[in-house]
Amino acid sequence: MRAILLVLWIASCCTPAFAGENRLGFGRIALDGNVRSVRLDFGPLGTTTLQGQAEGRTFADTTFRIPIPASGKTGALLVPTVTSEGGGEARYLGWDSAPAPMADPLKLRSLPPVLRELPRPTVLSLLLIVLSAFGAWLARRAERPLTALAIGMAGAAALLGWSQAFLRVDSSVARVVDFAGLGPSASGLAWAGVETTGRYEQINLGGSTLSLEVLPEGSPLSLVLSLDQLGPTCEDWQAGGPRASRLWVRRPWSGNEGRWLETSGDVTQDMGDFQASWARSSASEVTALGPWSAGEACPEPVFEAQGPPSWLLSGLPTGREALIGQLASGGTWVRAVWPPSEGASGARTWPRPR
Amino acid sequence: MGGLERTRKVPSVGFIPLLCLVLGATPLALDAFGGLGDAWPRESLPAGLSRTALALLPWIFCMGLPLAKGGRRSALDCAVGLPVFGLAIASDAAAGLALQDLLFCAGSGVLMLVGLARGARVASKSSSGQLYGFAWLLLVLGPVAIALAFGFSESGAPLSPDEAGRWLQYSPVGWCLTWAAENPGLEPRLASAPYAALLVTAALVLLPSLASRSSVAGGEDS
Repeated sequence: MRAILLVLWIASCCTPAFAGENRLGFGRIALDGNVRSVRLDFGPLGTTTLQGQAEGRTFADTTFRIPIPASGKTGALLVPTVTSEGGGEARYLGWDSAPAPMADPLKLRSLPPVLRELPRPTVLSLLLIVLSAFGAWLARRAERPLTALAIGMAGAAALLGWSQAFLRVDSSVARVVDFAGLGPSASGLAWAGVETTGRYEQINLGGSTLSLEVLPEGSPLSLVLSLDQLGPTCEDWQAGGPRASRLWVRRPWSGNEGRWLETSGDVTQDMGDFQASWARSSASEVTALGPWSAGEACPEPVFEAQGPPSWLLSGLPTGREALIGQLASGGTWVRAVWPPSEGASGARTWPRPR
Repeated sequence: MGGLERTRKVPSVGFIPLLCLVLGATPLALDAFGGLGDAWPRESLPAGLSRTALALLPWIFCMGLPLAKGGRRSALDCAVGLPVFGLAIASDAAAGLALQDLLFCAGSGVLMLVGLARGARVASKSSSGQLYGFAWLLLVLGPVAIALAFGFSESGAPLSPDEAGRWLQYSPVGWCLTWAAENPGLEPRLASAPYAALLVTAALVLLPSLASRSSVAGGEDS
């Protein structure tokens, strides 16, 4: 049984996730007077909460574009129940727009698998347990039940109250940056880039977000944004899903400005130092390139028995050349796929399998 | 006099609280050193077991065990386990369980173990010790045994089928087992669970008192 579960787990790690449905919509809300918080309840789709300070913020019938939980698959967009606090008025004006569309070649890229370890108690917490339990046991043994109870409760309260100090919680983020060559342009090859971030249960997003996907499908979403920072350029929103749900956010690539992938002649990249990189040919042959420092030309192929994780290759269009790498800092994955014409032009040197 | 002094020196808290402490803290210690978290995915059963339920389980089982005549056990013995409960609740909350449901269930669990300890203690001091022992077997272990029988006969998995789960709800130990085995990938079902088990606990607390009262009343009548 244990072996079967382990195999299933390994298989699930290797299986790419395709959540598919974009759950992010945008609506318009008008705020008037002093508002402390606003909650829009979209029923089974979820909620949007605008959370402000205790003293509230005063608006003069101002309209804002806010994120709302949507369901593109069913086309369902409910009229929310709006409740506000602070004495002012909040009116939901209706659907505003969908997020900006993604470039077609990037829509089908597989999502990075999101895995999370369980919270890990620290050695300090175990030590505190031993000390307080032993203290309580000694007090109980000495016929001092109230002292024993006080010691036990103090230990419990300390461990529960300062859990951040006593538990290591994995908050790792799975991230992949996808690039697609769209075709020749005046300045060379035109590229589109999308950064996909995945996390358990809660994820940050902002006004530039292209899509918000969640598994299990159809999970209610709770979107939270700060009333004080409300505005079109705010990038400090949060989306939460139910327990053990996985959320992915796609945004336009906003990393290095400037030259990050040069394809005239030898391929060079300025994204960062890759700790590992691979080239996939148009015949789907994968060649390991090893570490690749920023600004340097594409390295010579190296021998490697193990290829990149299979989820990275899954969903990549066939018949095109691709570059896959993992940045040394942060572990972010990078995938770049050349358009068919570029692959055939032979305008640059591309490492071939040995 | 010397006999009385010797009685006073008998430790009021013994091996059982320490055993419960060690058993309850073991999953947390395994987590701390990567014993479970590395080997199992979060969705699988071993990793998904509620640490609070696992911390409470040995206490709920042991504190309700029928005591010999004059045996000394108090609900206050569970003071030794409180730090483990605290860390287990924090761990479950950090793993994604709703804190409100978690506190409610942990509170219910503590209520059960306190009630069962009191029931066992009162029964050991009265003439209803045997009755309590029989009731404990019937109400605490009985549903678990039936659930195991259901599970083995229907699918071979003792805790998974609904029928088995329904029987487990009637026993404090069974309720704790159900809670422990909850799959974190599913919807939480913590909040609705403990009522039947709490009722059974209340019955076990009241039974010795009622039995001893009725025997006293019967003695007076005769």
